[in-house]
Amino acid sequence: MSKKSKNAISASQNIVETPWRISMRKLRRNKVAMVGLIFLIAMVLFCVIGPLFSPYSNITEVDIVNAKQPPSSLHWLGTDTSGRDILTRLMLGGRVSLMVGLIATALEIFIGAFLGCVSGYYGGAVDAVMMRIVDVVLSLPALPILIMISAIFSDRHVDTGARIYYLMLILACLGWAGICRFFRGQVLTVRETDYMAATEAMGLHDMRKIFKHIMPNVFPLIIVTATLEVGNMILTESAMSFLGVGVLPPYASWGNMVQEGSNMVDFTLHPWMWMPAGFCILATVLCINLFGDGLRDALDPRMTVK
Amino acid sequence: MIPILLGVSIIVFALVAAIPGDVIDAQFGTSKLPAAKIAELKNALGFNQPVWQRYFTWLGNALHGDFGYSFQYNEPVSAVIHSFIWNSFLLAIVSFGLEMAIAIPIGVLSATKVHSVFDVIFTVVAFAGISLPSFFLALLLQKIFSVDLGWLPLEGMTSVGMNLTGGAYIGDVIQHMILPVICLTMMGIGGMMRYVRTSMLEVINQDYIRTARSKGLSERVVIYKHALKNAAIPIMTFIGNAIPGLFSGALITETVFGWPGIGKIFLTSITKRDYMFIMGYIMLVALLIMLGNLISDILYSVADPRIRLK
Repeated sequence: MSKKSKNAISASQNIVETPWRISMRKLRRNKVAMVGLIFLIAMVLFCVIGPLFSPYSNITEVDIVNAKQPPSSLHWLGTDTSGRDILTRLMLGGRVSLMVGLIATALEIFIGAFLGCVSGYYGGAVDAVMMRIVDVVLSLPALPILIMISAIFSDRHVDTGARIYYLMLILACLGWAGICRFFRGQVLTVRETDYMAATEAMGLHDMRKIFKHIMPNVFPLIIVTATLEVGNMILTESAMSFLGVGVLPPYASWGNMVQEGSNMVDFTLHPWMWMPAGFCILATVLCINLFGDGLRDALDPRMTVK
Repeated sequence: MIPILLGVSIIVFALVAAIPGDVIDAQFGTSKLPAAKIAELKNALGFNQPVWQRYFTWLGNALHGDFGYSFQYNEPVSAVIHSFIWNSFLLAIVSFGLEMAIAIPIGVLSATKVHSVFDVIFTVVAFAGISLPSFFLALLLQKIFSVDLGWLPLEGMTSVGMNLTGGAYIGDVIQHMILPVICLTMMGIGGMMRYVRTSMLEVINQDYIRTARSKGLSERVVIYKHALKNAAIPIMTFIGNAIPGLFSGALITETVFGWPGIGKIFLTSITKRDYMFIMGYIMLVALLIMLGNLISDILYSVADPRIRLK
């Protein structure tokens, strides 16, 4: 009780506490989510600025003499098949994995949220057609289709660097449908509210209604979905890279680093070659999910418990 | 449902057609078979027809229940699917049973003691399950339990070179099953735990639960009789939705553990350019996804009369 009254006092001191600030205050109180966020920031810093401090950050440099060395003071996590420093490759691989996750999600959310809002707002034929397309895309089994598309790329000898960008695009193209349907549902409920009737009475233009009045109301949900999707994207990308159909060497990604150690000899005798990358995926995705869940609790008024 | 399946089949067929090379190239490309012979074979099999023509041939046959011929196994696609799908189903059903047995009680307890230490610990555990990359978990399990400890076989479904029968055969398969089943269970358990917890929390915040409490009912009766019954609706639909998926195979887990399931066969069929099998498998999985949605819709309207009003 005392906590509640204190909050009430602080709220009155700030004159009006905006919903956004209330949410952020709730989020800061969620220890699990904050731990997730801190680890996540640490991981991003590790990957982004880590390689600058590493003497081994040239990915094309091969040092066969020192291949498959166990962890030592020179190479803290040992070296891989080509004698490259594993710690440095973890950072470089993390850059690729995080980048693929972020950009693929941004694309996916952009397509999905936009089409969902338009579909929900206009309804009628637009909505009917859009939802049938969504039904089809949602019925496609994602991983098999991704593997097939990659087979096409491999056979057509697409450049491995360019493939990373295509990969983002394909991941987004298979993922937007669920988000589109979700936002359509949200917009359908927002559309019936009184403030939307007010915009109607004011004679606002459609685009203005969508972008200034509907979008801000579904925006918190966009943030939550996006956060959780980044984790899913990283998982999918790493699974594909592990199967040899995602990010391909010489580019490092956490998925293909695990794959490099999965032949029988390295698997049993050189665990430092594949284990760190796997734990990086687990830790990163876990932190994203914990933080995303905290964000949902904080932003979604319906989730307020007690 | 039919238009959706048609849409899926068009997309998948177009993708399959976009993969250069075909089963003849994959099988005889490096052999000494003369080029003329290869061309003749391709002609006879209809590989030189335009894409749309091949699609309609496939569609016509599929409508009669004929999904083509798998060159990889020299058998009709339906026969290949039939001979591997049960291996996949075996893994899936056992781990699904385990998931339910573990996740439902924990989810319910988490919701009743929300924000307690128990809840926080299992929230993190559930998210760890959701965040685990399947291939890494599979490798880790292999490394710990079969390489380091030597307790369980590394891969496959049966021990090579031993012609076991009867009870010994079943025991052998069970030994091989343990690791993949643990892997699949750990992957699935987190999502289910979270789902049960959320469903239960939503119910616990309802007015009728407050009413039940204010009537002076014991907490036990409130939770297990009033709340759980209502939370069972979303939980049931979740399970109904998952059931068809038990047949679709676990691509990565099966591949890492060398389990001869349908997912592993699909991966090899891509390198072998076994188009008919690729088509057949993806259509099957699409159908299973749709069946899952249908089942959960039906269960929803059976369990909750309010939905039927639509």
